[in-house]
Amino acid sequence: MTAPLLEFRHISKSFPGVKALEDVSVDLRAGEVHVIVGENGAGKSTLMKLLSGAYAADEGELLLEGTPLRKNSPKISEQIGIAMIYQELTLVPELSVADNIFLGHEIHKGPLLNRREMERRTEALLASIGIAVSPRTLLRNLSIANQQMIEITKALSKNAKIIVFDEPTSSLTSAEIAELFRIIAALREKGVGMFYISHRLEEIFEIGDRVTIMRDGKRISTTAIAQTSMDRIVEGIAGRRIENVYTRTPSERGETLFALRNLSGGVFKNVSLQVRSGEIVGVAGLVGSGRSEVARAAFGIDAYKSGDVLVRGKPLPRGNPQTASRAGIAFLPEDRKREGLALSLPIRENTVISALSRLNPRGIIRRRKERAAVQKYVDDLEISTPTVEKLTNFLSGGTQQKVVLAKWLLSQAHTFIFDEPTRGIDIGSKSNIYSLMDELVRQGAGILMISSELPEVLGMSDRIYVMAQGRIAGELSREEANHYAVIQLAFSRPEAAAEGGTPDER
Amino acid sequence: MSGKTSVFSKRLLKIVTDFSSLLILAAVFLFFEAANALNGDHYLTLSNISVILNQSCFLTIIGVAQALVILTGGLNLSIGSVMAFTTVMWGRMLVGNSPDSVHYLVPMAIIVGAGMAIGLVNGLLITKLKMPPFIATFATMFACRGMAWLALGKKVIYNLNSDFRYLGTGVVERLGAFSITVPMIIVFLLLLGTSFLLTRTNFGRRIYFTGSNPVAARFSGIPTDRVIIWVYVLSTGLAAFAGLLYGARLNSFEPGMATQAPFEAITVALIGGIAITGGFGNIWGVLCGSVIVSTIYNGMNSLSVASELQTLVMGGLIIFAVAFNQFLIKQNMELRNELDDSAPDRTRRPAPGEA
Amino acid sequence: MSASAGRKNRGFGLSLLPNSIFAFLLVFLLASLWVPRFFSPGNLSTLLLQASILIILSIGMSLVIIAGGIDLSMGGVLSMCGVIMALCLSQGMHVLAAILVGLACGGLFGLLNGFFVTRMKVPAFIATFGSMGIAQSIANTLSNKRTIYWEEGSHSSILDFLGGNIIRIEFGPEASMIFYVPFLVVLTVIVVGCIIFLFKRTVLGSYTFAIGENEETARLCGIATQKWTLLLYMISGMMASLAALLVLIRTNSMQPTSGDGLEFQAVVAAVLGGNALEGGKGSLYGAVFGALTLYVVRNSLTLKGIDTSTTMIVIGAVLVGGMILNELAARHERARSRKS
Repeated sequence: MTAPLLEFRHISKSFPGVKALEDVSVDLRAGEVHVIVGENGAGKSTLMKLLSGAYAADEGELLLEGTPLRKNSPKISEQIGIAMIYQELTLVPELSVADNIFLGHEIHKGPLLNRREMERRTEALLASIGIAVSPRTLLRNLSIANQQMIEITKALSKNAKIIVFDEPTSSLTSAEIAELFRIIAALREKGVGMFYISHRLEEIFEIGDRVTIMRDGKRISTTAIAQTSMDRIVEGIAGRRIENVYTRTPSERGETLFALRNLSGGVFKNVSLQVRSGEIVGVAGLVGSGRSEVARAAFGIDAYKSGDVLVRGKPLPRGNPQTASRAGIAFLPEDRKREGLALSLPIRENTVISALSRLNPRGIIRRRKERAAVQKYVDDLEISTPTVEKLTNFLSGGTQQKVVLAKWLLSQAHTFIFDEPTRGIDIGSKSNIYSLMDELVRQGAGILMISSELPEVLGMSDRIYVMAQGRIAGELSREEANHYAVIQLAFSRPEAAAEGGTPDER
Repeated sequence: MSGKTSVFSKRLLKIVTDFSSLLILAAVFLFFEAANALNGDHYLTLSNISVILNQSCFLTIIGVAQALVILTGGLNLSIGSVMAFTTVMWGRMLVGNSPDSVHYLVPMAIIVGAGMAIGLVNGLLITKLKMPPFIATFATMFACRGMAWLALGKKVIYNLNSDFRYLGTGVVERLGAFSITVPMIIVFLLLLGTSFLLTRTNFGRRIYFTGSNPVAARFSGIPTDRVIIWVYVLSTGLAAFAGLLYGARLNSFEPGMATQAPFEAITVALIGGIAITGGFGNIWGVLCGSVIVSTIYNGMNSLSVASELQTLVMGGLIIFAVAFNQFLIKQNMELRNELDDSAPDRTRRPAPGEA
Repeated sequence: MSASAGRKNRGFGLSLLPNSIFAFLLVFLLASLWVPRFFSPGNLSTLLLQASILIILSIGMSLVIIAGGIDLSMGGVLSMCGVIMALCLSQGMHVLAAILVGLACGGLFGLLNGFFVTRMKVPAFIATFGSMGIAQSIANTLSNKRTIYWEEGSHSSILDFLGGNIIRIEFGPEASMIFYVPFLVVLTVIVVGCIIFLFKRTVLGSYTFAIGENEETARLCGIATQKWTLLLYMISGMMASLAALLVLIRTNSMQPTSGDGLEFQAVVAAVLGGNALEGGKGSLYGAVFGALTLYVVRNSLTLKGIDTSTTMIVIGAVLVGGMILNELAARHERARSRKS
């Protein structure tokens, strides 16, 4: 057998405090779609970043068609025909489609740009994968889905032999996903080798040839799609840890702390839900189903059109995180570095920021009281740090999440909205955070947990709301909830059911 | 290297980076002392130090005004124009010593109040109209300067009330050749107050947090708009106050005064270790920055450097100071982190009764 | 993902024009209606001549701003290069050689700015503000703070041509009825045309937008971002020296303070033209209209006999008003593109 198109051989990579990859070996053949699955933090993205040249491996080697690749950088990887398609687009909105596709490797006629030729080729490329967009359109005038297609076209324009798709479907509608899959199938015919990273397990069976499961930086298995099943993949991803990772002790349900009544706006419509004291309420659904948007609107970050946010039965004035936090709502954002912490400030100042008025009602800081309060939560949450003066910039993801949690605990919130509570957090801190959540509800708090990780939702929630197309598609009790029930609801079409019309595609 | 010595050297390095402004100041002093010594002069005399400190007072005030805004991640270009506009508009009330005129504190209050009102405009443009601080304060800079010229034209307000002038020129105590002046006292009180505001009050905490990460600040329930508006009100009000002291010292107000003030203020604040990106810096550093800048001006005069060459030195200084400072801030943060890690675990666990 | 999803190019419609043209038309209309003598051939000619210098500066400024930077040294560089060219002339150097020296100095100074920004990682605002002081200082030192004149002679004879008019049409006997097109305006049109041509037809434009949008992404696309940033600062320095040439020809002398404050006017013109200070967005045409808007306002205030100090207030107001107008136009466009 000839050498595979690409091979990772015994790769290891560490970051301060985390072993991101440990002895990982994976190969990619020409003309195959190799799906890589695993939880966040399992090491998928790190592996792909080694391929793109963004990182260098500590140990092991990368072989291209049998020959080791000695050095790698974004430039080199591009030259040897590796293209990355990220979730975040790397396009320039003010430039035309053709200019974007040829950015960095333009076609010249003398010193001038040969726009006609670039447009002609763009048109041909777009036609070859069946996208009807004019090459002259400014990128900012395209829908997100179309921009993604342009990103793929860009990879094609460089004659990429290897394309990495990093969660490409997260912002696409189902019709657009079908279109993407058609393009991927066409690429497979052309002999392009593709890595496909996805959280949507259903997609794997539709598009994949082989699947590699990763967990905690290690490769668990690589099998042909035909020889595996959904159950085995789920089991592989989660490991046999389901029982010991998730801590749930039954707790007393109390009054309704937090509720949404027919909340509508942006991408969501008519969302109603309640969170009672003593329960963890999960919100599941595909990425793009409007889960995070609902949470952000409820906390006052984004505006909503109609409906009410009720805290202990009383409507909350809209459009202002300040009133929400004063009413006892806590919001733990998905992107902690960008939205949760002031990284140039120490743990102490991050922890007290939302509780300043309560700790120092006269506006003047009482240092001893502050330090004691912070130290108490650092101890309670087992935040591993030598001192509360440590800058949050230098903490690991799990510890950062705990600091954000400590901030809201100190502000005496009663309802906690977690948006992807364990994204990018290592397994040890994960179970730690789960037991903290359990502890919280036992003490009478309510938790609304938004998560893409089904095992997490199933393992932690007392009740689960499943969202699809911006609506609540259904509600499941802990007893009714299982993987299939949630998936079924997540793929349902509540919009069609509600209005009897056809779903509108952006 | 053994762990102990490396911790020691790191600690030493951290102290160096912590007090980098002071070290620069010392270097500047030494340089001019040496340069003057070549001419057989003595630079570091008590009286000259007193002169430098007195000169730096004005720079410190506008530096503090600028630093407050920079700490929130903003910028205030309207500082000099506001000084000119407010004092020119209401400065006439400070002329002369006739017994029936109002107490000089009344016009002072009006002028500072007017400055705060312009600061409110700055703040509203930035938070409500979402204009970049550069553009917003740039617009008020133009408008205020224009209004100042419009109000007074080429005239000058002079012959000011002598009680008022005492604020800018008075000497409280002479310690040999060193004079403690009223501006020094004012600046010291201002720094004390600002330092208290920034490190010991909820408002100060919110300023730093907003500057460090405005998104996280909003998500933590901080009324960021209100914080920013207040900071511009304070900063611009302080600028008007600086205009008063400036006028008191020169015994005149004129529409063309202090055109370079916003930029001098930026220089002073950045040399003082305030990070241009916001959320980092100690207000006492501004004092250091302004003394450094005053010393350089004063020292260049002592060496009779032509004024046009002085601009060159100041231009180069700001560029290198900022480049150097960015480097230092990064080093300082990393050293601090390493030292935190090498510290014995949980040294600051509170006593049982305290928690 | 069907054909309906991709929006067709809207063609050469109104949408291609920068939003700032509305502000310009509005101001122009108001001035024509309310200011006597504004809409006269003579005055319009003067207006064009006055605006030329700012147009050139704001084109350079816009390039840097679109790439996410700013060049506050432009005024200082104008003074510096003007003084250098004037000194060369007074020493009897040939005009063309003097111009080349001036352009080279501007370009070199721009490179220095680029070095501060790309290598020393000083924020553009600070770096170019510092170098403004340096340039001003050089201008003052070289000129000894005095206006520089030169003896006319064969070496400077081209200056008469450069300072003359290309077209002159008399609509009437009075000065206000004479429409003329000075050579300097033609020169400005040529320079601006060249830059816009390069911007649209070479990689210059796309790279500038890409760097301003996200430097890291641009780098990953294989663009040598530092080199291009250096180039952009160099162009802006050369634009400043070109503007110096215009000043020199118009006044037939050179003051070391000619450029003072012009960098701010150029920023205003660029911002009015829809160039966002955060980079990645903007238009060179827009900056031209921004500069024209500013000069229509200044010109009409002068005609009305209003004090120059009022002009400053008006510039502040125009800036705020223009920003709001731009924002409204952009919102309108967004709303329309969402609907279609």
